[in-house]
Amino acid sequence: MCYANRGPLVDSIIFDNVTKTYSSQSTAGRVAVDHVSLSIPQGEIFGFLGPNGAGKSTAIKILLNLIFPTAGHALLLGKPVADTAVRSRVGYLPESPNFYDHLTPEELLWFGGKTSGLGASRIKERTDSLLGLVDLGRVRRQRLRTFSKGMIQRAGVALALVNDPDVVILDEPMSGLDPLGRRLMADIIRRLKHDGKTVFFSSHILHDVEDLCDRVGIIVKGRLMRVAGLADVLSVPATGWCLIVRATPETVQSHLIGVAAAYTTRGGLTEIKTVEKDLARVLDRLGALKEDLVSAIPVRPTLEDIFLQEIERADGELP
Amino acid sequence: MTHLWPIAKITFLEGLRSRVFFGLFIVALLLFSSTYTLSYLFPRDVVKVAVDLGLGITSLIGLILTLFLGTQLLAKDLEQRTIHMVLAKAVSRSDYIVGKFAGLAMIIVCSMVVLGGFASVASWTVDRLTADQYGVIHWPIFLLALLMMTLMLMLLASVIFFFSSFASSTFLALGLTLVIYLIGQSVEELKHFLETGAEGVVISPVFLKIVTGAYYIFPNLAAFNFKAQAAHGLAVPLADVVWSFLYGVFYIGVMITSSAWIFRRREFS
Amino acid sequence: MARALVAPSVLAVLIAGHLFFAFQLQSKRVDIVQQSEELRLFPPAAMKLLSLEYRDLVADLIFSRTMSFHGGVLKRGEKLDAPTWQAIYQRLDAVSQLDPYFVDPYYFGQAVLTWDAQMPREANALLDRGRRYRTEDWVMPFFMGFNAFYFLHDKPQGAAYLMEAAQRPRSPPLVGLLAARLSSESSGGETAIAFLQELEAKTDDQVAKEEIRKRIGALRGIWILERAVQDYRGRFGSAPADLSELVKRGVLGELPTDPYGGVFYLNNQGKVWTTSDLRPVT
Repeated sequence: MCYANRGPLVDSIIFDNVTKTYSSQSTAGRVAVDHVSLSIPQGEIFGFLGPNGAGKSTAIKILLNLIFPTAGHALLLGKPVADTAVRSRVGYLPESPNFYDHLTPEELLWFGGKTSGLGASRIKERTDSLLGLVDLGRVRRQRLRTFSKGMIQRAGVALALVNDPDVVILDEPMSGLDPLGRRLMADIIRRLKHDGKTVFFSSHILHDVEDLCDRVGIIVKGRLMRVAGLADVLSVPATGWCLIVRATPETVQSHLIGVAAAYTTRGGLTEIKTVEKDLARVLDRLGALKEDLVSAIPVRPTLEDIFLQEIERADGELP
Repeated sequence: MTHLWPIAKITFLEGLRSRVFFGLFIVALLLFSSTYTLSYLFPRDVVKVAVDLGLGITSLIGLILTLFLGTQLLAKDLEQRTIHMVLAKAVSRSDYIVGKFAGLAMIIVCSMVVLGGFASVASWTVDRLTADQYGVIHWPIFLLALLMMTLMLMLLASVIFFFSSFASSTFLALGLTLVIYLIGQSVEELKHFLETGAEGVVISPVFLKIVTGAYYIFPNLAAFNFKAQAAHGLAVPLADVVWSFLYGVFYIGVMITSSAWIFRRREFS
Repeated sequence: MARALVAPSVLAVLIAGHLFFAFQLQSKRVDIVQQSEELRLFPPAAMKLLSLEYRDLVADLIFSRTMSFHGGVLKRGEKLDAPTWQAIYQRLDAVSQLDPYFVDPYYFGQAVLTWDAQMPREANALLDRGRRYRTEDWVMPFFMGFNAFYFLHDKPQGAAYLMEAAQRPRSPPLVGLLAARLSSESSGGETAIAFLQELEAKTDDQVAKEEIRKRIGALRGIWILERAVQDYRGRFGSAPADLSELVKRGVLGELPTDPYGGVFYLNNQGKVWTTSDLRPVT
């Protein structure tokens, strides 16, 4: 995979053939990141999808100069990741974050703001608005030691955003959040896109990636198996249809003799699965039952299908 | 450079809010209250003993504080992964080390002010309640002893930082620093003893060379010990103070610079 | 109901047991505790190393224990044997090596090593360190002078120490006078005179100055006469029978007078002395 320079606007994140190998006691070193090349333009929400241990966190840590690549290099906003100053325009939320628990959210954000070069009044402004956004306003002077996991995560989000960064990097942002928290996080991510920020987040939860991302990259065993726009991935022609009729399976079957279809019953409703080309025929056959048609949904390969496909492919190709 | 202050400040707050900090002061208070009773066991040199106790307790508590806070502040950061939060911000590895050390140094200074204050009060009480024939405290030298003690503790803190920058666990860093402390306090005496010789003891020249080498590698902590002078009100030449001070500053510089250098190569997963 | 009582009862039994054993332990360990009062000592060099930066406190501790050991012995009315005294001396010596400015070991040593232990040489060895380090303290050489004179019967040495003491700040004038007296009784009257002249110059108090001048006068008289006696011997082969012979035979112009009001004479040992004994004749 190679990247293309997209005009005057600098890409937010570039991985250029990045490899990270850990030497270990065993003869073969462990390859955590395997020749990953990727570029993410400004303003995109990119989902980094992969099973546990695929190398998502490692790749992210390379971006933040916490880990050094064995080969290749990475760029943030056009600057090498070793450049300390560029991180003042970046926000990062680690996976299961640990913060100094003797600090209060206010002090945490003061620290984040000060190290990003913000002035005192700007810090106050951002603190007020962010703590309100993540609903930690009431506990702004309480020590983080007293916080629940969800509250810490939210404090982490506030810290990541305190410097109004152009690039936001989130490592498993939904982990440990309850449904309300996840909704909040998703809203925040959408708002960031609306503000023209780039969001790069890793997850192994397909639904979140489906819901939010513009593009998705699937990484398995350190190798970037596939990168594609979500719309492209999901706008493949339907392979079949799923019809739900309010009738017993026997009644439905009696109408559809001779037509190949799969039936399942779900509480008084019958679900009919049929291939695309048979749709017109099935509808025709149902005849009178059409009145009892509850829903008709086209079946397409889901992200899950694609994901599992890539995992299988990786298992086949890679050691 | 401006990034040093936020790191120093949150480090300082961490030390201040630590339970170790608070607990040790309670212990110190109890020990200081014994100064009065213990000094009176002595027939004449009552004030000397009061100063010995005051400065000795200050030194001991200061040492424990420095060792525990020093390991907690850096090694714990690495163990608990709280360092990620700091380094992900626009903070370089050197900023981190220097800023953290500055925070630790501030805590040490504050602790010594409080402990030194207690020690002064305890010694002053004894001084006040005894006639001058039992000795008088010479406050400038008392203060000097406290100042140099503080510098010594900062030096030990820099040693902890050095070990923490590559040691794999907090206990290892703590243990190594403790060993450095023991060596540092004895190396001058040992070298002097070997150089001047003792009755009937055969000194191997190889051993002498080793000890001389050790003197240059390990910090000579005895150079910061002015407790005896404070106890007896002996005059201290300014030159001695300046030499010891500069020696301390340079050693700290070596330790911190080395720590920053090691840290620049370190990865955090 | 019964179950609720189990825990408190067990606790009560255990506490009772603890108190019993604590009481027993107390009496059983008396011997052990007493033994620890005995004076085990490391070589001072090793102690300096082991005490790290707490040298002064270690000195205080060892001294305190030595004092209480000695006090304990006295309280029990026991007598100490020579090896124990030796051990006490070594402890005091070690303490003074750890902290040579610490004054208590020297005073304590002076008190017990001289009279009780009859170890004046060791006392002076100890005090010598005090003399060398406590340069502003006149008491150290004073004790040494006293010991030399009184216990060791070494007048010249005693005189030398007392002179040193007199030259240290805040020393009482008596010390100087004592020094001069001692040294004049041994050979070296010149030293005494020079010393006293020095002392007189340093003294501000008029009464004391007068006193010193008197002594200088007396000693000078003795010195002149003793030189004259030597002269006489040289000329005539034997000592004069009487000091008046010196004038009669032309060795001296006239006999010096004793400012104390006494009369100079020649004693059986052939030394010049005065009836006033260098004290004002009343």
